[in-house]
Amino acid sequence: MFEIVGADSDDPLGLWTARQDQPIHFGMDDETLASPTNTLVYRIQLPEDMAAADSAFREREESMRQSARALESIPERLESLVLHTQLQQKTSGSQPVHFGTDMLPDPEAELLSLLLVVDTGTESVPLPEGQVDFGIMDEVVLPGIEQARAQLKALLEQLNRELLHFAWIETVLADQIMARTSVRWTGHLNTIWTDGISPSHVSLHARSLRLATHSRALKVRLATTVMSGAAKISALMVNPAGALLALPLVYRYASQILAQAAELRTPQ
Amino acid sequence: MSQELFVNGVNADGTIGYDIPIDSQIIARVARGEKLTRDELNTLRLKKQNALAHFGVAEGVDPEKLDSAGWGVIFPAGLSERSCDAIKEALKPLLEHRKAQAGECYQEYIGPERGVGKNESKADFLKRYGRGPGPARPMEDDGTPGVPYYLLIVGSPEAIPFSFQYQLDVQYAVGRIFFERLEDYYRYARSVVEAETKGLARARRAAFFGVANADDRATEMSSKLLIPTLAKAVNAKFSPSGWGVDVIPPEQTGKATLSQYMGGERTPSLLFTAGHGINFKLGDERQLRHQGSLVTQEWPGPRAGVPLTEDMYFSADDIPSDADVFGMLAFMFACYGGGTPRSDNFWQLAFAKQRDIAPYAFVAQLPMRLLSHPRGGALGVFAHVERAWGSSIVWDNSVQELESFNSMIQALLNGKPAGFATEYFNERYAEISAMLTEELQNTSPENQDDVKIAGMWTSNNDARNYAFLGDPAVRLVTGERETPDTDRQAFGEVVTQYPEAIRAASTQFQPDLITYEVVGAGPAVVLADEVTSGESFGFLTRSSTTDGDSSEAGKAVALSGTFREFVEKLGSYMSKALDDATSLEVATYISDDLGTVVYESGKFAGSARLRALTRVKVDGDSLVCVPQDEDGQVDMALWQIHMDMVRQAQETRNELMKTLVSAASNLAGFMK
Repeated sequence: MFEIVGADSDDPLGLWTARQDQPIHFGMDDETLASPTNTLVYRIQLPEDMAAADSAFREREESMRQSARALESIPERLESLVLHTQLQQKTSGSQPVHFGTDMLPDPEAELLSLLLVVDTGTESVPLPEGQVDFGIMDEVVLPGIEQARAQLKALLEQLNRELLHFAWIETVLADQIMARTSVRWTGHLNTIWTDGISPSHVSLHARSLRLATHSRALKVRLATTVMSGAAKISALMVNPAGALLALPLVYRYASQILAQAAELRTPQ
Repeated sequence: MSQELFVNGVNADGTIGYDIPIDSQIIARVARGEKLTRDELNTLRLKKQNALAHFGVAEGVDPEKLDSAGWGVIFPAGLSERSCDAIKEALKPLLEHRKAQAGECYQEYIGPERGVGKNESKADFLKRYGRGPGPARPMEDDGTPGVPYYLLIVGSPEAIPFSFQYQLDVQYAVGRIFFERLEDYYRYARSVVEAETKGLARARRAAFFGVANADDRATEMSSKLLIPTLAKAVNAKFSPSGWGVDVIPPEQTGKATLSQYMGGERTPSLLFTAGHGINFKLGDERQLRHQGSLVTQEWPGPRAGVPLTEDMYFSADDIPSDADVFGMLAFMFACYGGGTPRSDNFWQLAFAKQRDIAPYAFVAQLPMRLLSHPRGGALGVFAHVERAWGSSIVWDNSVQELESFNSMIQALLNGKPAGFATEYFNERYAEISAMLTEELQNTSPENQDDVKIAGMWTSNNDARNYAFLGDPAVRLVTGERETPDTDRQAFGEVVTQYPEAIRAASTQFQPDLITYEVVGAGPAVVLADEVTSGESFGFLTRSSTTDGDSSEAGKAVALSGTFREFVEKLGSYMSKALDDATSLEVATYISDDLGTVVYESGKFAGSARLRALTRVKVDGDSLVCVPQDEDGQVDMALWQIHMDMVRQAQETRNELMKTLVSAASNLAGFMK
């Protein structure tokens, strides 16, 4: 129902489903567009029943708000994690690479443990008893890091495609296209409406626009939050390239926070 | 002795009140520290002494007649001449109507010389017009103009602060309107005039809607004490004169029921709601749209620990375009129901530290939506600004303090002007202020009872922070026979027939709040410069020397190529966006067959027809193409769609600015 057409990878916020079809509309040839295939189309396919359409929007809008809130909480959580760990290291007199993970939430505990792996290059780290058990390191942890790296790369590539370009947003009701809008990052809008469109359908497309533009901005925020998070957490690392090494780990961490927020969401 | 106090208003995460427990000791400390200015104290004392005799106006002035009490309109002095002219034009029907009623006692405080200055106090403003503390006198005996009793503030609370409104309201009957669209000013002005001059009558019916959420002391108190008491009094006194009273049982106070009473088929002439108003954290994207929305029965209460969703509160978005609110008055007893200041007044006083709770002071959207409704607006909304404390209802933890509510409602039902009816709350404010001051002055801190002082302080704040949104001279428009719905709808259609001057000016119109935001975009330029200067990306450059390495560091570098491209594009994008931020272009096309439309060089072609175009530049140089129908008339339906898109574009632009600032600060952190 909520699709990004032309995307190579899933939406990291879980708001849109990726479809790899080529965008086929209008033979797009905007002056700012290097290639037609560079443009993503946010397509919202709604049922004819207005109540069901409204309900679908509400559910997705609430998801977006949850994601935004979860994203906002990450800098503070990472700040606390760094302070907590530094304090623990100071009081225990342990080596900087030893991170205590007891009493931490799972995402934080896993982040610290993975940080140790990439920081020291050690692939098998004996975890203290009672802490998060990742099973066999080679089978679980390293592929996890690899996956996070691939996902972050996909996000950055998607943003690279979108930045400086525009996006199409189209609302389809019962298989009939009601409206299409090209929206630039700076807010300029070109919209084409089906002649004689009703006010209620107009409001549906307005919601499509809001959902697409906000989720696009959220993706940028996700990327920049991961960057600043990696910078923060690198304070716990000894490797001089710590921030860069930490990027996929912080992305994995942020994904877990977003997933937790989605799980906690109140059923509509 | 200390006692924890509770406040009205629920936070969006499902908690209540502040993030620290507020007890009577803290509030008593605040009360001891708060100093009223000499002018404010004198005014309040005079108000208390003269309450019964004068009731806000000088001897010989009839507060129910505008040609005696006077009527005036106040604009911010800093508003641009173009905005002043545009708003004045939009309010023309109301201004001319009031001028005809008030005659020589009509005043306009508009323009750089006569308007209210940015930091001007109420005392300084009155002084400029020869008035000091004391009752309102619109005209001296020798014919010298004074200041009218009824005063309508037209401006945002950033331009004319809520504090100015509170203080002016002690002596005068004050209301406020502030809309972001020029058409909304026209709709409201026309609605008031239509209601007062075309014999509109809503049914004589008052409705009392008191939510009672589970495990919640505040709404338990309002639903069990406030609502039944008020409804019973109204029923006893007014049912003989044909008034019907609806009391909605607490268990039925859901969102759907409220829809019926706020624009639906059960809309009364006077609606009284009591419950929590929702409070969003600073930075929450919902804050400006939904802060102060009415929390309904769907919220499962504080113990459930569930974040609030839109299903649990009633916001401006829940008033549909076909709602029937024309001519109604509403009283919303809820935190932030009327508006939100930029910083928390209580926090500032308690901890001597500014705590911003909003990006800027703003008026709540629900009342504004009601007032500017396209089918005809409500006439006014009485609501609470900032946080409401439970002591509005119970005084000194034992006595029900409902007389102000009761008297105000009865005054409204008796046909008194709204601003005059709200004097009962001003009386209460004056009285409690005087009591609090005396208590603090006449006893030493060690002998003071913290609980008592705290009760007085919170009651004082509660009474002060009620504000009337709308023209303070409006009254309930009721009659024995309600105007048929079709006729009311016809009135409503009138309010959207905008004169040519309004239509021409509307797309260029920038409310003072938007101007403020444009100014606020200044720091983004600085941040963008930081990013540009950071484009050497030293850290990434160093790492790139390890290309081809299969170690963790090598893999990190493989990622860094994409990452660097992202950072470079973001920097480039920011630069382009800031260049582009000086204009905004919105185009609206229609087509019979979208399948035959093509997109070439940034424009739709083929069967697409361009019907409306708006190009707004910050310097005010704007281009507007208005759609016409076959008869050469403006196609209002399409114009409305286009204007919605312009608003959407402005929202997207605001989102862009926020993203830019966030991205720049995050990038700066990474580059360190």
